[in-house]
Amino acid sequence: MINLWTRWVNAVYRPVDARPLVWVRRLMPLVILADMLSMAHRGAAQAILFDASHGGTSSGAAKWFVFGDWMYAGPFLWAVIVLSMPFISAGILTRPALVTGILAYSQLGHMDLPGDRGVDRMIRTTLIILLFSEVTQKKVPKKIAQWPVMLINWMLVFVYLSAGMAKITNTTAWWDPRKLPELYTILVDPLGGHLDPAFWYNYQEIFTFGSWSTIILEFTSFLILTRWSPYWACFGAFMHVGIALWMDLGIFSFGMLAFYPLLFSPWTEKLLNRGSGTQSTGPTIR
Amino acid sequence: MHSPKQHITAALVLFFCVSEGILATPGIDQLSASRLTTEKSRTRMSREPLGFVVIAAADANRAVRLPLVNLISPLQRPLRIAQSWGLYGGGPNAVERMEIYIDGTLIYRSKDPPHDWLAPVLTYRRVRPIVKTTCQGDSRNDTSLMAFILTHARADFPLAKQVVVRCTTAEFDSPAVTTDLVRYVASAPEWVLSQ
Repeated sequence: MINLWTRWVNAVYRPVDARPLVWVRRLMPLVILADMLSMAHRGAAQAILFDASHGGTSSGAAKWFVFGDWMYAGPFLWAVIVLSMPFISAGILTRPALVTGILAYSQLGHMDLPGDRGVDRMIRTTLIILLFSEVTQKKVPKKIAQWPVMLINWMLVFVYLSAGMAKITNTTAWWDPRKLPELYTILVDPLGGHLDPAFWYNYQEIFTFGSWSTIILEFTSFLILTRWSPYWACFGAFMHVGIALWMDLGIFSFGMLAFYPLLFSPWTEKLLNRGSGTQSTGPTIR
Repeated sequence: MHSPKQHITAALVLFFCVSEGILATPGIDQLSASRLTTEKSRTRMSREPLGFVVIAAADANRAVRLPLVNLISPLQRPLRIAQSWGLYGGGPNAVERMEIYIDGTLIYRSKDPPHDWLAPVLTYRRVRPIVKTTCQGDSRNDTSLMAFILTHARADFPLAKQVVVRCTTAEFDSPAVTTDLVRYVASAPEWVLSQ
């Protein structure tokens, strides 16, 4: 038992190249920043940042929302998020910026219940993991303990597996070729997709293949924990680029792709070595 | 030799991994406590292929998983990090669109570029779920969404006498033939919203 525990502690503290996780720390706040700026650019700030009694679209906050009836809570939280994210991304005052950013982002979620989606929960969980990791230090060491990578990868396996299970338990149309492919109904939905329902109705084989591919990809997400991860990540990245192109899901795809420097490891490290003209700085994640 | 800090970190990492497994058990996390509790529903499920697996999963969920979920889940609430991920189970059963009319003139229709008044707001990812659930007649925020649309319509079209918001449904192979799902109307001078 003691031997098993020692092996676990060794695994948790196995040193790995810090750079893939540093890239996650750089990209993730930029995704949130882009979302906040997009909200303002689209003219959706009033809809989101104010409650229904002040012209917003969301009626009723969660009980953990601490600002009560203060009218300007939303704009205040927006400003805190917009100010803190560049600091996190740049690695300046990282820990204070992470604490304020996480608190403000979660409060915005408590305020805007219908708009706070799965990707927001994923990003917040990741920011909390990063907060306690070594990539928030003023000078990030070349090698860090691998536990933050373990936690993020573990969460992603469950995210993808759950998505796969939700699909096959929801409807047989994800795999039954006699039915209208579920991927078709998602991508032609005018309230979420971009494709024309009538035109693409005649090309259902493409969507049947896409539906099967999605299910296979999600059920093989355990490969993230193995040395096959970068190969799996090629297909995962392709799926998220497809979602970004053919659906109106805002930051979802970009938030997911921000995890991919980890999933592409050790290719990420090799690419960074090639870019900087240096040799490997330490053991890779896998 | 590991330091106490390393042991504590390792224990916390283990706690996170186990908690993720309990909170986000794929498939099981979508089962409610009341699933397959009646004799009738259990008998019907037992006749399905692999029905006995679903019954066993529902029983295990009720007896083991849900009590643990009730124990752990309060930790997630302050920072809204619920670890349950049933993302994108499926699409709609028909082509659903939202339309907005001012005095009988169409000014907005979902995915219709010539009619895109307020489209940047209505398609923004944090507003889109309210539009979708409103069209499905399943929104707690439909009244506030309608009030938002009405306020902006009156500001952008000050001479308007009537604003109509409706959601339509159509078959996938003939999306032009539509029927109404929900319909909201507000007229001058009271501008009271009615469904």
